[in-house]
Formats: sequence, C-alpha cells, structure tokens
Amino acid sequence: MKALGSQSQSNSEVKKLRIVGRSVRRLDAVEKVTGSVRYSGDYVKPGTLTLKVLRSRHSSAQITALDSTPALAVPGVRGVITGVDFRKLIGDVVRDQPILAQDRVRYVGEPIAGVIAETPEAAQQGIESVRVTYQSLSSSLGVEQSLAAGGFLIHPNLADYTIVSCIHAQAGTNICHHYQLRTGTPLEALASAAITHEGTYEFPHIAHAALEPHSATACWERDGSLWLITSSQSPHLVRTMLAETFEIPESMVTVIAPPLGGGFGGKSDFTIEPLVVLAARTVIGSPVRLTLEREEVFSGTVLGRGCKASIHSAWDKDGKFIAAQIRLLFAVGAYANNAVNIVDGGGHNALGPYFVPNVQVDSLGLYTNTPPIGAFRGYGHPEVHWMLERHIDEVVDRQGWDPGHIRLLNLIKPGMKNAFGQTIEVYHGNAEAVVTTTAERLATLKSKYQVEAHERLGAGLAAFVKSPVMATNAASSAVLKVHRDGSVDLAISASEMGQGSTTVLSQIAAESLELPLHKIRINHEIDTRTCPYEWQTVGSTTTWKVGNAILAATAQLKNQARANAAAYFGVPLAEVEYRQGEMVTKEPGRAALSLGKVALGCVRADGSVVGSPLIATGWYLPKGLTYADANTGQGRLAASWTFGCQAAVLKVNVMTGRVTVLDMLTVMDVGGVINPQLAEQQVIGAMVQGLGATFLEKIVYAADGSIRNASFTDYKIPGLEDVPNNMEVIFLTTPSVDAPYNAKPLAEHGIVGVAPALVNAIRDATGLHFSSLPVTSELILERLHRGEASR
Amino acid sequence: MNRVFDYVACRSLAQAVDLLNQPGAIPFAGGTDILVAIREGKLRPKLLVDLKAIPELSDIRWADGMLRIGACTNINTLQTNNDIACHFPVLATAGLRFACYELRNRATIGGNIANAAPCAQTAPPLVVLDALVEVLSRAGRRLVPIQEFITGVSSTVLNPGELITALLLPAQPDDSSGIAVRAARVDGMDLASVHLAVQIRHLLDDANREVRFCFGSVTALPARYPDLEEVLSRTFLTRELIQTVSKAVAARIAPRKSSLRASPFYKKAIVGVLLAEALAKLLDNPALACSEEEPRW
Repeated sequence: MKALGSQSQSNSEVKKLRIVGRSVRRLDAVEKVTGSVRYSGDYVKPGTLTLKVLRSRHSSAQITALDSTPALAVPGVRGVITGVDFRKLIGDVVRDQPILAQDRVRYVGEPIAGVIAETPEAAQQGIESVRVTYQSLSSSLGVEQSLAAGGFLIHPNLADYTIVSCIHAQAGTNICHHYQLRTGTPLEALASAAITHEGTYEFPHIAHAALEPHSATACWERDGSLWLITSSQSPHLVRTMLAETFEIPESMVTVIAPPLGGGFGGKSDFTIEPLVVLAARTVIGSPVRLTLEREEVFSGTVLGRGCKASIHSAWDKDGKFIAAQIRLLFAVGAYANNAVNIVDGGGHNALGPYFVPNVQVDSLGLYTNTPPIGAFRGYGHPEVHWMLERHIDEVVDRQGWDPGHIRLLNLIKPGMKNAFGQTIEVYHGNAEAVVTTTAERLATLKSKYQVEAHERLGAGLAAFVKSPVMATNAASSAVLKVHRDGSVDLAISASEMGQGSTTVLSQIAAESLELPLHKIRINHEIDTRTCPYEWQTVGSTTTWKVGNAILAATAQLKNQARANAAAYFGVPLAEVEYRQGEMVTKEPGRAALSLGKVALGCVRADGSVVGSPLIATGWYLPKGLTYADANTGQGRLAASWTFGCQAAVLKVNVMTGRVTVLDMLTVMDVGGVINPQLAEQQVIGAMVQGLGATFLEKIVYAADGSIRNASFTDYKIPGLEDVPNNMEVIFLTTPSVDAPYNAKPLAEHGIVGVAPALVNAIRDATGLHFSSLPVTSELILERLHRGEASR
Repeated sequence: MNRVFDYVACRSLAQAVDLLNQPGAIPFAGGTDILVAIREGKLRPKLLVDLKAIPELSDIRWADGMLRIGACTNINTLQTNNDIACHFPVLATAGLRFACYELRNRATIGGNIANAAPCAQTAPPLVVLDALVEVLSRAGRRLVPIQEFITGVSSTVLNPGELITALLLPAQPDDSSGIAVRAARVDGMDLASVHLAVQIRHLLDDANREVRFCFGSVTALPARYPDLEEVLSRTFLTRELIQTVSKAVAARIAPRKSSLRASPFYKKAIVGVLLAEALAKLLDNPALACSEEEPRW
C-alpha cells in the first residue's frame, strides 16, 4: 500500500502520532489463527436443547393443514412451535414478517415449524414427522412479474402493516417502497440533448457466504428475563426488537454477541434470533440452540443485491453529463423489513460521484417469492455503481471518449450540491485526485503486459462514492475505566467480525490517552447488559463513529484525572496537564501523578480522599440527518462521503472465454488511516468479494422458487488461487472533519466499483459490453462465437 | 445428518467381506461422498464398513506386469508415489486439481470409481490406461475392465456384498506419456466442467504412435472414442487432424442441459481446446494448441 498525499499533511498533530498510523498486529491474531476464539456456536451450556426448523418447500402457498402432534411423540422432543403460537408480525421498518408462517408461505425456506429436542437426531426426526398440506398459489420470482398490473399480491394486507413514515409502500401492489429523487428538468433535458443513451442492467441475488453459519442460543429464565447468545452484528437492535416483540422490559433482555466468523451484512438487523427466542419460550429454564446448516444460511436468512435498472442519460457534445432518468427495481424477497433501506441507499447514490443537474430517480422495492434481502457489503452502492459505470462505459465507447477524462469532467466538486441537495465540501475528499491517480497508475500497469495471439488485454476503471446508509439516530458510545496499575478498560459494542475493529479502536484510545497499546483492554465480546449502546455494526462506520465516541470518552477521562490531581495538589485545574498518562503541574517541583495513582481518587497523607474513581463515557451521533422528502427525495441523507476509483487490467482468452485478472487497483480518499495494514487488507477483501460477484456468483432459482446452488459445490466464491497477483490499494488523505484522526469510512468501499471496473476492462479487451452479472467464461465465449467481438 | 448407523473400522479384508453381507452395510473409505450423501438424507446405511485400516488396500506394488494400486490409496498419493508419477503420469496429473489438498488426503481412488459420478476425475485416466478393477466378495475375486465397471451415473457393476480392492494398471511401453487437463469455473476448488485424459504410446514415433483420450463430465459415462483415437494415431499430428477429431467429439457428446457448471454449448466448445492443449503439452509442440484463426464450430 502507498499512502500518497500523507506528505501533504504538515500538521504537527499528525507528526506526533505514535500508535495511530501504524500497522500494529491485530489483537486477536493468535486466537484467530490457533482456533481458540469462541464463536456463538461454541457456547454450549449444560442442558442445551437443539432447535431444528421445518421450512417451506413452496415459494407461494396456502397452508391448508398443519399437524405437528406426531413430533411431540418422538422420544426426546421437548416442544414444538408453529405459526399459531405467535401471530404477531415483526419488523423494524416494515412490520410484515411472521416468525413462523401464518397460514401462508411466501418463499422456499420460510420457517413453518420448530422442534425443540434433547438431541439433534430427535429434533430432526420430529421435523420429519410434522405433516403439512399446501395449496399452491401464484408466485413471482422476479421484479417484472411482481410489477405486472393485475398480478397477484404477495402481501394482500400491505395496507394494514405498521410502516415507518419515511417508507412509501403502495397498498394493492407488490411495491413495498418507492423512493423518488427529483432535481432540475430531466425530461426536457433528455428531449433536447445532443447525445442520449439508454441501457438496462442487472445485479442478481447473491449470498454473503460468511464462513461461520448463523448460530444462536436463547434461554428464558424463571424470573422472566431472557438471554441470547448470537452471531449478530446488531446485538442492541436485537435486544430492542426482542423486548418489543415479546413485550418485556428491555432491561430484562441480555444479548451476548461473541466475535463473528464473517458478517458482510448478513448478520445485521436480525435473522434467526426471534425464532430461537420463541422456541425457548416453550422450555422455560432450558437454553435452546439453533445453528444453521449451510443450505439454511442460503435459503433461511437473508440474501443480498437483486436489482434491475434502466438508465436514460443525456450528454452534451463535450461529454458533460446533463440529465439522467433512472429506474431501479429491487427484488426484496418475501419480506421488506431488512431491504427497504437498501432501496433508499441505491436511490440516493444512483448518480455515483457525478454532478448531474437534471435527475429523476425512481427506486422501487418489490416483493418477490424469494428469500428476504438484507444488508450486503455496500448497501445499494455496488448495485447502482454497476449500472451507472457500465452505462458511462457504453457512452464512452460509443462516442470514442476517454474513460478517465469523462469521469474527471463530471465529478462532483466542492461547493456543488449533490442530487439530494447536500453540498460537498473540500473535507469530503479529493475526488479529482482519486480519479487522476487511478487513471495514471492504470496506464502504467497495462503497459507492462504483452499477450499471446489467443488473448486480449484490457484495462478498465470505475469511480464511486460511498456514504453510510443509516438510521438518523444511529448512536455509538464508549466507556472507559482505569485500574490502579494504570491499565484501562475500554467497553464498546462494535462487533469484531474479522475487520480488525478491536485493534483499530484500541489504537485510537491508546493514542488519545498517550498510553502504550497494551495498557488498553477492549472487549471482543459484546454483552448488552454491560456494554454501552451501539446502533449496529454496519455501513463501515465503526472506526469513524465508535472512534469519535472513544475520543469523547478519553477527553472526559483526561479531565477527570486532571481534576483528581488538581484536588490532590490543591491547585486550580488549569495548572495540571495530562502528559503520557501522567498528571504534571505546569509549575515545576511537584512529582508527577500517574494515571493509576489517581484512578480511584487520591488519598492524602492524613487518609482523607479527594477526587473520584475514573469512569468516563463518550458518545457520537452523526450530525443533522433527516428523512428524505417524500416527493423530491431531498434531505440531509448522508453524514459522510468517501470517494474512490477502482481499476483492473485483465486478459481474455478468446478460445475459452476465460478471464485472467492481472492487476486490481483501488484508490480512495479516506482522510486518515489508523492501521494501514488492516485498512489495506479490508479493502483487498472487498475487492476479492467483488471479483466473485463479477465472474461467479448468482443465486440460481429453479422454477419452483427453490435455490439450485445452495451449497459451495455450485455457489462458487473465489479461492486464494483466484486472487490476482497484484492487488494494489492507494489511500489519499485529505484532512477530514468530524472523524477520529481524520479516519473516514473505507471498509465496504473496496467492493463498490469492482464489477464495473472489471467488466469495463473486458469491453476494452474485446469490445463486448455486458450488462448482467455474473460475466462467466461461458457468456463471454458465446458472444465471441457469435462474432460480436470488435477486437 | 443425524442419521443413526453403526460403524466398524475393519482390520482385515476377511472381516470387511463378512460385514458387507449384513443388510444395509456399505463400504466406507474417505467418506468425502458418503458423509455428504448421509447428511443430505440421500443415503441411509445401517452399517459403515470402514476399509482404511486394512493394510492391503493401501498397498501399491508391481505384480504380473501391472501396477496394483490399493483401493484406499488417497488422491495425494497418486502424485507422491514414484511408480505412479513415473509410469502413469496421466493418473498423477488427474489428482493435481482434484478438490483441495485436505480432501485429497481423504478421498480414495476406489471411492472415486465406486461413486461413479460423471465428473469422477480418476475415471478418464483409468480408462485410457485400460485399468482393471479388482472386486472382492465372499464368492471370491473378479477383475472388471474399467469401462465395463461404470454403467451409468452413480451406477456400477458392484453387487451388494462386493468391494473394490484395487485398480490394476497394465505397464505402458517406455516411450509413453500421459496428461490430464480440465476446465473449471475457478482456479481454486471446483468440480471440473470438462476434464480430459490423454495417454500416448510411442510418443515420438509418428509411425507407431497410439493416442488414447477420454473425456469426463460430457456424458453419463467416461467418453472414449476408439475410432477417433485411430485418426490421431500412427500419423503425423497436425492442427487440422486435432480439429477434425474435436469437431467429431463435440458432435457426439451429449452434456446434461441442466448442469450448473457449464452448458452443452460451453462443453462442446471447450473439448477441442482441451484436446489440443493436452497433445501440445505431451508432444512439446505449442503449434498443436488451438489457435484463434481456426473457424469455430
């Protein structure tokens, strides 16, 4: 990794940094490598019962009969639950989902019944003995069908659902949300423009493929309290939703979230938790555990993406992007709850990093009879950047324009308002430098290669902007305590899911407290009873938001420590300075007091005590966010932006259609970097995941709505062998505001522009334009055989 | 998963043969297919007869002009054993990209054949080597030519109570060589979309050269076409000849339309590329490899 631009920071503050900016070894490295980390499924309390789930085999059907009594006769079975046991619908944004199917199933994999038993074998036998009779209903596996007028309704009772006010569902249709963005006069501009272009694009449903399957253990104690251990990115959100759903005080719910074996959004919001808690209610006092089989992770949690789009754009003859009319159709699956915000995220960011004066975006969420869609690394951004950056490449190719130049020409610049009315400032990052750096580096990389006669060399790039999509009240918080030896406990509730957040957050605390890293002890496991509030670990916001909360807490802690020392010395507070973990008076002559010495207040020579034990809290709330205006889509919708550009050099074997990616490059203006190695690895991980979505990954539905490739045999993700030799990450560091040590979000970002960059490179190599993912060898070879290649 | 069955780790062939006569008993080696099938509920055995600890079944030795490879020889051993690597490189190279290293330590050659999947990676090399399958039961030993052994998708001539004890490979002339190549969706672990074994006897002698080839994953059975092998044998090999043969292979194979790995179009398009690649490598003649100037079929 190269940190271009860091030299430009002459700020003396930055030069003094001791721990921030260093690639310290991640704190959990030994535990992860030796396998001693305890994940959710590793917590087995004595007497834990097993839950197995009977899932729908129909994508859309009425349950005409359900007999679960035979399961109760199976030896070892302790309880059975079905839809009649809990009628209430759940959902944070759109309350449309039953915990267990209520007379009707809406996707293959939907839970119908649960069997709680002493052994997995008995639970399985119990599941197999439950008798279900279905009556098939019409179904829709795609957005066109769901949109068709006169089509059947997946949720006939949509009008009756409780829905958050910023979500615009349309009763009597399958539309669970319609976000509209309007600015300027797009239709007039399109009608009169010198150059217009139309295209349609598709990003299929894909799977998160986290190594650790979802696992949760729940227990209702006899005092009415509930505890839950779960592989979740959102323990506090889960606690709130469980308390509301089961109508108990939030203080009676404890959610424990150990480190995750990968999340990627697939463990955000909630997935299996309500089901496990409902099952546990049948066996008060006994823990009940559900660990999903890999097939169930595919069909029984949430999937990601699933978007079809059309773009109609207008350009002037010099290449200025004048207008765009964009329609995004998200197939959100059978339940909207986790997906409607992605419809927003896509809609907000449909213009990417560009300034376009005339815009009409309609982003629709459509119910389909497929597993529900949830957050997936990038949250709407990869979908819309795939479409927009492919679209721009089509225009560039048609007009004979230079891809880098056209992007530079149209980038949004400081002082300009984006499509939803927020003004971009200098501190949001230097998008021009990002694109220029990428284009220059790409030219160098491409020039290295000679290829064989049966190969075609190509280079492509795609620019992007990413902003966190989040609740307006998405708070972070931190608590610091100091021990008598001067070591510090840091409690936070950000999930460690492989991204290295505990290391980075400890670096921020150590830097601010001017202590060695080993003096900071952070929690790797979240316990909602003892750890402070965190909305969710999503949107690449941990370093930024939790880091800010930690800085607020360290500032408070330093003041407390100084106050203790001042009281001890009997001098005004202003006379005491905090220096490298010691309280020193400005006036020489007094011995310094260490942080440990003032940790519990100070005992004077006569035994009297001054000051107080040190315990500091800090919080951070993104500033000034609002809901979008219902008609224009305008609002304070984002609290931070990160600009980036991605590029690839590849070769296409025209005999086999096989693509060999030679170089992949990401350039981003991230403000500041806390741990260069972890930041780089995070971005490379995202690039590899994007590589999979580009060439391999797609959920394949059979006609009956079941998933044909719900296993790693035929849902291929890239292995180490498939990773290009040269993966480059370049961070630019334009000083930021409202970010700890300038560090802005950067984690999901590495996936946003990967697919269009790679597929634009295929176009450069062959002249072939692809508009649907994944672009397989087979699809390339088919078009080569049809003689469509122009090079 | 969660199926109840008995399991016996056998110490001798006699014990295994005896146990296999029990109802619901099946032979069990690496378990890389059987455990998956049990987990998916596709196989519900009453007794797993584990063969791995029986010494004879992991033995590799020459006898009567043939290399006898014990059925429980694992796939990694196909590469590390000198006799196999030197005399039957076509089999050794077939193991190179079989699953992943860990699974190659478990999966066995006998199991790969007994499972009889169209994508079984050791089947084409065994076919071009005219391997014999040694089968044992209470009734005694019998030898079955590999091409007769596999009778369909997941179907073989094995009767209940029988197990594979070894694969017998006839010695090849000194000036022979072979190679296995494949096409797959990823460079990492994947089942092959198409795989190919090519064995050439009298490699550098145009007048006596015998070319044998067999494709996997393109039909239910390993696809060997002796008449097309004839076209490539005992002659000076050219691109045109290879192209003619590839075209004929593409016309004959009938790949499953529903495959998630590759469509019939792709398989038919790729057989010629693989055949040319293998022959070019074996004859150390890059000019034989596919070139883009050729018309496509």
